Amino acid sequence: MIEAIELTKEYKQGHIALKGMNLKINPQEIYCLLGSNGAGKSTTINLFLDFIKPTSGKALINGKEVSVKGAETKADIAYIPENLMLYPYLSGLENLDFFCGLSGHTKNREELIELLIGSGLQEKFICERVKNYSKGMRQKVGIALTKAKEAKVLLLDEPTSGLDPKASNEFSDLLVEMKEKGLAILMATHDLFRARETGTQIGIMKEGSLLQSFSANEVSFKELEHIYLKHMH
Amino acid sequence: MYKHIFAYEFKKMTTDRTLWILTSVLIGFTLLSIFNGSEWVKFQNSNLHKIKVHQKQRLEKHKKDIVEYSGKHELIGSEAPNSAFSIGTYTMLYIVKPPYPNATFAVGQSDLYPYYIRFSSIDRSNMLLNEEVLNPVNLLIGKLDFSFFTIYLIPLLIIVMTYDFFASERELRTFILLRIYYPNILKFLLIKWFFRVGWFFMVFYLGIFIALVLFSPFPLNYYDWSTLLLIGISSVYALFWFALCFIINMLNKNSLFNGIALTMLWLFIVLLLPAVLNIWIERKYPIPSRNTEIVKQREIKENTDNQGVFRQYLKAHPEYHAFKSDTIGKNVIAGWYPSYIVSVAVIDSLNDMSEQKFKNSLTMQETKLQDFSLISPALITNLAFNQISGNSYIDFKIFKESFKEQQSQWRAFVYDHILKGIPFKATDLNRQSNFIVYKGHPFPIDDNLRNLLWILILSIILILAGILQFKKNKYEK
Amino acid sequence: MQKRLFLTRIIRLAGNEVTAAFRDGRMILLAFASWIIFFSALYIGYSYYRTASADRILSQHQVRQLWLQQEDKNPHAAGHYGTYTFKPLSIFSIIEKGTDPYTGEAIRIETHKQNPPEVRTAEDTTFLLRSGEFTIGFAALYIIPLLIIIIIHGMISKEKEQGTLKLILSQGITKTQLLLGKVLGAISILSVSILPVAVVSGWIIFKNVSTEENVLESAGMLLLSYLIYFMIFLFISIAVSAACETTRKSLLLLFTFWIMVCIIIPKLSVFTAETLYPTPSAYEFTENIEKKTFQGGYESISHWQDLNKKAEKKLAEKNKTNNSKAPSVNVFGYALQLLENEGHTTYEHNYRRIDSLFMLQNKTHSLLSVFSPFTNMKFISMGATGTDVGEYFHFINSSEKYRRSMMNILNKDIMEHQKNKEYKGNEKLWKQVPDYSYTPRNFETRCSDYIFNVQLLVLWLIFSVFTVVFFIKRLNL
Repeated sequence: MIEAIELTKEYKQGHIALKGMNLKINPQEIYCLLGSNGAGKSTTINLFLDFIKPTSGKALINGKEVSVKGAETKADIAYIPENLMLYPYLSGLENLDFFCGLSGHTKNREELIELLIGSGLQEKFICERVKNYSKGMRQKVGIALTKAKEAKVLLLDEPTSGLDPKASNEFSDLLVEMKEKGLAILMATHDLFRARETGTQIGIMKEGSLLQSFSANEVSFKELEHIYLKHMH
Repeated sequence: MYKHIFAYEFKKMTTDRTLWILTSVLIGFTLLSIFNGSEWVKFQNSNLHKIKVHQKQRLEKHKKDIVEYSGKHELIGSEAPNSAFSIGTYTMLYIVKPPYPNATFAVGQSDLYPYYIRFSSIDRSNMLLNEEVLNPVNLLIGKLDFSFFTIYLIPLLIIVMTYDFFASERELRTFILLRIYYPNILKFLLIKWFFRVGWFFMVFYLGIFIALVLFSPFPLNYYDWSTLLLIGISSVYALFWFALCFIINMLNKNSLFNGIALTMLWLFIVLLLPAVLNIWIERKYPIPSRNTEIVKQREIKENTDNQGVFRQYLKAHPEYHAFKSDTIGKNVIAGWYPSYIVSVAVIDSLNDMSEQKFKNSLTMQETKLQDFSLISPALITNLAFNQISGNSYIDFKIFKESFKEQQSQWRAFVYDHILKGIPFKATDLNRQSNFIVYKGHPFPIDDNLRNLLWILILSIILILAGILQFKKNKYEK
Repeated sequence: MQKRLFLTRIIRLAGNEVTAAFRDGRMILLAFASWIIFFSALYIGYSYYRTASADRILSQHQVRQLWLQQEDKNPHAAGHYGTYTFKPLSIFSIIEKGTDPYTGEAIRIETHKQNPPEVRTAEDTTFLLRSGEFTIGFAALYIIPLLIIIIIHGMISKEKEQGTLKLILSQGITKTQLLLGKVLGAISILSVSILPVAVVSGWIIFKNVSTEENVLESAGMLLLSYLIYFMIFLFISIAVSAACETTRKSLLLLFTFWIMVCIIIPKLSVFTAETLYPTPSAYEFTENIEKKTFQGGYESISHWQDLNKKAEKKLAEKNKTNNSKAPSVNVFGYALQLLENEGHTTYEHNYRRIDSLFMLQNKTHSLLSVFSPFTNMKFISMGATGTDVGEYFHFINSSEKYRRSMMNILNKDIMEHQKNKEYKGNEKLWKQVPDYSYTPRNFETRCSDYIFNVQLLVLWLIFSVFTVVFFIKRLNL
């Protein structure tokens, strides 16, 4: 479970990036955070990742406060940034093995291959060096990492940005698959279409505030667009 | 976990060939530099061997000539083989300073100063050339010996190996994943850093061992604890550079900054600081002008040729009164000999005084250098190499003093024969070996141990400071 | 119009570089660092020159006075007393000391013996001298290229990383204009650092030049060569910057280039030169000469007797008298001259052998300098400043010529005037020996030794220009 209680982040320059956010994401839910650049989406993600400390409020992962028990909470988290970077001179398989080993979830070669294929990576690319991978292929390795880690929570920051429609679609399918397996997923995105299609909950942010939160099923694609643009003006 | 991280560090560094290139360069230059040093030692040893053999041959011949000549002449001519006068003037002895085993690692100053000196009872150091025949251009550029490689090139290899071990993770953006998958980033970085340190030392020691097996001019059992101390100091010097790379990485700048900063530090610590210190020391403790001393000696020599001075000297040195006649006992004395002996004696004492001035100044410079060396690990290491290899200025200075002692002993023996008119017997030539081996003197162990400890402490301080800096940093991305 | 646009674009690009370098501090950093280093080195070099030059001039004058004021004595005794020659210091030693610290500055002039130079300043300094003397030459050859690399390495690669290169080229600027603009910008940035130093150094040199010929040519040669040397590094830096995808890679490659060219290749060329053309040891050198020249002692008696017989015969032939026995004292003088001539051949042969080995070694350095503009520049710098091995040999030859003429005069006097053993020369004879005056080699002679190095340096310049043009043309966006 992902939970934010009056979560606030103010920077030294006086800029308030996040104002008293309240959020709860249960397992088997995909919460899509929408908003323009600088709305506070990435700040929210970074707070849950313990990359930055909150000014006030709490960020909780499975009931544990992130800023207090950072190392413990990371054991349950997987993260896919906008541009997932791996070691360019290692293959996808080797990168997966490396990070799995680091997180303590060591797997044998067959298991790793199965994970990569299960994440949509074509078999012929598994042993290729990552420097030859496209962005979509790297995202798939990221998904494999999440599965390998048996994470309970998945955080994503603009994961489909720069992907072609096919790759984006494949990615969404994988997310839904992982949601079904019981993950709580928080995704920051600009992609209204993917948010409506994939998400179970949608939140709209502007200037650090979560303005509106609703179930994805409650609105159509057109309505979602209308609500979004209304808030952005 | 360590094995896992080591294995992948190895993989990462070998797939982009960095590790292989660095390993080849490290081993290649270790072998080449030790080979270079050992060739110089072999050259020295072969010279000394030649001198030893020739001296033995000369001694045997001279003994034979004395036996043949003895008893067949009423008066012993000034050029006779058993004439004390002739032996005193023309029989040459050598004192030699054989290279230590550790000289394989550092040529030091041995290409500038003589390591064998020829003398007679009259003349000090009378070879045509006192130092080896070396191209001044080669002396200027210098040899690529192990000490040069350690002090100047190893830091650069370490910088290339380590300058971005942390910065690269941030620049590749793999740092984000690392923070998720291995939250104890500091431990991860320390393991990464330690992999490099471990790999370096493994290859370094292997290279030294292979080089010694292949090229050593001495059997391996000649190397003792002093060699270990020398390698120990080289090791802590390398560790210092690893520590410097560590702390620079912990400043959380990009790899470009790291590269420039470390190169500037190298330039400063290894090149500029010693050069500036040298200038300061030379100005504070200037060496007197040798040209002025030459002129002074010319003056004295001219005066000692004067008969008045000669008579005055004889008055002051009654032991030389026998020189008033042309023969002493059965020995004929060449006419120029007495005044020459006097002028040599006077000039020698003047030389000793002026030489003392030079020695004092240069010793003072070396002492101050030793004191200030703590500001630069490069300087400490350089000093250690010179001292432990027996090729420092002090080593040659003491060698020269030992030579003077030997020469005085020989002179006293020969002059005694001359002044008492006693011809030499063949067995008299055994009185002092004509090939004297200088035993050497111990290097300052305490100073070197203290310096080793100092560099080690400095390295530990840098690493701890790096760790503190890391903890202070905010990694917001 | 087109031409104006062409020029405008280049100037704008250059201006942009200068502005960026000024605002991000690179220009100030470079200028500050260069001025501190250069002006300190200039001050130190100038102080050294004033002291050392005055010392040598004074010493030469003083030994001359001592020669003239020596008491009446047999000319042969005066020949043994002898004198000294001192090598004057060139004004350019404030810039480059070259091999001077490793070559002697004084030669003892005496009968029977051609002595090698003595008084090597390297023996009177600490081991830090071996790291390099802190002179303008040192700074120009080692440090300026490093600073050029640091300032220039990101000129193109950073634009690529930032994405501004696409913007620039999309404005219609051609790659040629880009290259010229960058080069002009780089030269402008560097000029701020180098020009003031060049002007001040030039002013000091011309203010202090008195009797040295060809100062203008030498200064011009030096300035031009240094400029070419800097330009080589400038072009190579821009080329590598254009070739590499990242600034980091560019910096790494350039540092490697600097290390190879300035440190490793020169050392390797010493190793190669010494391996291919090993010089004899001092012992071997002395033995080779002493085997064939008169050394005194009982083993030389027959040689001296033979020379006397030869002298008698030759004099008898000359006198063309029936009574072939010439007065014995003239025989003595003649025999002395024969001994002197004998020595000439042996000394000549052995010293020439050393000279030729040194020359072969230097040729090896020159050949290997194909791989290193640094080595070429070092040789050119030493040649232009008269601090090279050639000038050292010239001093030796000039002193030997002087010695032979001196001994000729003294021996001739003995031959013509000595009737008995009490014969003495006086001030009139001493004055017949001219004062020693050293004329350095002229500019053309010095240059002729280094034409090959100049050609190689120019080739390096051409190569660096081609390289930068090639990589700019191939620029991959």
